[in-house]
Amino acid sequence: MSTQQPVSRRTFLDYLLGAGLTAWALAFVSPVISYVWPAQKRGPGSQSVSAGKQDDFAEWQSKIVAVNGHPVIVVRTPQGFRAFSAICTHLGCIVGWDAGRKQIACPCHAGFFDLSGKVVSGPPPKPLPEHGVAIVNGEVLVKSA
Amino acid sequence: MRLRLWLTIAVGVTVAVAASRAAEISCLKCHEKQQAAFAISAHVPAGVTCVDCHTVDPKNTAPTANRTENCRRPDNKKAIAELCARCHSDVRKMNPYGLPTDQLERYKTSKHGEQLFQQNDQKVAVCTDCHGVHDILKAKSPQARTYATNVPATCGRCHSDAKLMDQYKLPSDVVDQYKTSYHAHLVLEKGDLSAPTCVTCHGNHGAVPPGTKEVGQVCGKCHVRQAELFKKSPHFEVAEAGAFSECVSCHSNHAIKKASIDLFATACIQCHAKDEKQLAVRDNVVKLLQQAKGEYERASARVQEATVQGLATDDEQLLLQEAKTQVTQLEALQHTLAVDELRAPAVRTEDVVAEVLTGVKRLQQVELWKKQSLWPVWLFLVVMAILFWLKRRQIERGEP
Repeated sequence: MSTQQPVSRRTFLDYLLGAGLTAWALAFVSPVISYVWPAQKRGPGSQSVSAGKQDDFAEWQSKIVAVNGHPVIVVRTPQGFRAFSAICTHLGCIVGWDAGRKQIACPCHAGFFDLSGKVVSGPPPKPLPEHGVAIVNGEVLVKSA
Repeated sequence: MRLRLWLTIAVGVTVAVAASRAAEISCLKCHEKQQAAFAISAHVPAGVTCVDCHTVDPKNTAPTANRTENCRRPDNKKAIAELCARCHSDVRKMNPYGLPTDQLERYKTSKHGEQLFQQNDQKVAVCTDCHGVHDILKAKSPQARTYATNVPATCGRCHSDAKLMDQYKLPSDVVDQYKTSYHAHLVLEKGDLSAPTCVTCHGNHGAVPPGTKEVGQVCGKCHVRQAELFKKSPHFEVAEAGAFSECVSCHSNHAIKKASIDLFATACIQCHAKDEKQLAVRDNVVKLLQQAKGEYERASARVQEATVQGLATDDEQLLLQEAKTQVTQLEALQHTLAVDELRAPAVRTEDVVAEVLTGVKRLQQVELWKKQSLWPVWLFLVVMAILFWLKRRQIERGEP
């Protein structure tokens, strides 16, 4: 039969304070640890968005990706990748890739843009703004501006 | 021998330049007003001088000998057109400036040109009426009479003159009507130079007022998609038969307003006042358009509300753009009047809007959860404060 000493009020208070301070200290220390811990993965950074692997794009294939909430159309040409804002400068529809014409086409009012973003035909008043594209470790990164 | 040849050429050139310059100087003595206007002209950098237009024989530039006899002012509009064409129809002269050389030929095909060259009508517009006389500027210059924002006023100088237009049985309110149009709003108020002015539809040098059949073709130059879709509508056959004017019947011509759903209330009844079956088609189209637009606006308001709350609505904004694309496509598709074709983008709009609303709801729930999760933190802080206070009291009382 074991005889247990009753926990005094003072000791109980010390336990509680100790636990609270430990939790507090952990809350402060954990961000520091995660900061100094060696990076496990490398991201493109907030200024770029990945459009996928370079090999996933066939020649003349396109894809629309979201960059800061705005659609951007990425096209692989024989000379490399080009990316443009996918918002038509006429009434703001999302443009698509017309593989037959090899042009960017707006489905709403038949506006067409060439692969430098310039208006080929239709009502758009301005060219599509271009986004920079970089290939890093086989990944297609679209710059935010 | 060769030296003598070079000397002769040098002297010849010097004399010619000096003669031309002397002619300029001597013109200025009396024609200061014209000189002030000419100074800003696009002709000055091109080396055009008074004598190029004001001599009967342009090769005779001698300023002093028989100056009065050789100096002239074109005395009729046909002569003006031919005078301008002396350079502007000359490919060799225009090539360095990249200017076309068919203006006179095109002008002759216009109503203006026909009246002048066939009827010798001296009241019609000729080159100088639109481009100016001495102060002719490049069309790209914002001060030019032919600059997009100045074109309505330039055409209006004659086409708003009721007295002049009455002689040709033409309306004199077309420019005023144009100024109330959405096209004019874009050009004159928003400075959108790609939006049409008078010459965009009527042409400039070959200005021919389009007939009923051509109007649709003219509108279709910019509104390509609508023109294509219109061909699928039951109205197309009627238009081909000449009983319906493609675009004008619903949108009018000069006073074209920004198209809205309200147009269905006024345009259709002009022909279908008692045709319940066809008005039912209109009602179905209007219903689909109103629903889609309403859904889009509702979603747009919710996304805006969430963005103002500071939530990251990137994905929802992207979906909203997709919904907008569907609604805009729907607005173009209604030109077919094919209700079944309209259903696909209408349904897609509903689906996308539902996705947007779900996304916004999820974001707002996460935000609420974050706010609620602050309660345990506050509780922890309060408990710790109490514990410290108890500990302090214990120490002060010297309790074991």
